Amino acid sequence: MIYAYAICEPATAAALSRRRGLGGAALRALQREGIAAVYSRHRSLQPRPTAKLVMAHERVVEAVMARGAVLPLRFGTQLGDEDRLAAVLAARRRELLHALDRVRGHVELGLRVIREPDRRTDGGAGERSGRDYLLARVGDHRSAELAARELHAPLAALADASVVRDHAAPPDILVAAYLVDVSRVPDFRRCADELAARQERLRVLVTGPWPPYSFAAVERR
Amino acid sequence: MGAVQLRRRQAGGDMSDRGARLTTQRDIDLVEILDRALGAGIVITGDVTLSLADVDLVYLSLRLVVGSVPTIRGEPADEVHTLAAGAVDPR
Repeated sequence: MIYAYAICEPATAAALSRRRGLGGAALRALQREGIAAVYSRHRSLQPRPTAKLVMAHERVVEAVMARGAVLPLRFGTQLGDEDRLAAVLAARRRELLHALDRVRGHVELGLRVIREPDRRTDGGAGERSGRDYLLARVGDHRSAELAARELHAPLAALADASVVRDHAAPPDILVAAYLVDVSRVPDFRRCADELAARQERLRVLVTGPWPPYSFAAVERR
Repeated sequence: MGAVQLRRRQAGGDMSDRGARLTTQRDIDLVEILDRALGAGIVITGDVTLSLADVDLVYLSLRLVVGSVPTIRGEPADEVHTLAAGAVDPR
C-alpha cells in the first residue's frame, strides 16, 4: 500500500529523498513522462485525520513547495501500489501538467473574516431569544455581503484566481483563498491591511503562504 | 483596525518570547491546514479513506482547542481578536 502526498516535476521530487513522511516512512518519487508523484510505502496505514498525521502530510507538501511547483493531494490519498499511481499519472498527465503551470511561482493566501462579537446578543447572561438569534443571522448575511464587496472583490483583483468557501460557519463571515504571484504577496498584504482598517464590525485575518490546495484541482476534460 | 497578518515561518525566532501568541498562531495554522488538506487538494483516487465522521471529529476537537484559547493578540496593537474554526467542506 502506498500513500501519496503531492504531484510535482521530476527534478523537484528527486530532491526530497532524505525527508520522511507519515509514520517516519521514507519519501519516494515516481515519475512518468515529465510528471512525478511523492509518496511513501506502508505495510498498513489508516490515515485518520489527527492533527499529527495531517501536519506530517502538510510538512511533505511544504517541502515540495519549497523546491518547485506543487499540486497538493487531498489528505488520505492511498493507492494499492506504484503501478496504480503510475496509471493515474499517465491518465491525467495533460491536466496535471496544465495545473502545475498554473500554480508555478504562486502561493495560496487565505482570508478569514470574522464577525465582531456583539455585546448585546453574545455573552452577557447567556440568554438569547429566538429573535436575537434571527437578527444575528440576518446581520451575518449582511456582513458577508459587505465583506465580499469591500474585502474579497479588491483582493481577488490582485490574485490570478480566487475561491470563496461555500459554508462559512459563525462567527466566520467569509472564508476565501487566493492564488497570488509570489512577487505580489507584499502588495496583497498591504491591500488587505488597508481594506481591513476601514472595517469596524469585521475582523480580518490573512494567512499563508500556503501550498495551493485550493487551486490544485483541474477541470477534467 | 488593520488585518491580522500571519506570516508563517518567516516570523520564527522573534516570536519565541511570546508564548501565548505562539500557541494561538499554531492553532490558527492547524485550522487553516485542516481546512485545506481535508477539504481541498486534488483527489486522484476513489480511495481517499476519510469518512465524514472522521472529519467531523477533527473539527469538533479543533473547535474545542481554538475555543479554549479565546484571544489572539493583534500585531502590533493590543486589540483582542477571537477566532473559531470554520466548517470543513467535506467534498
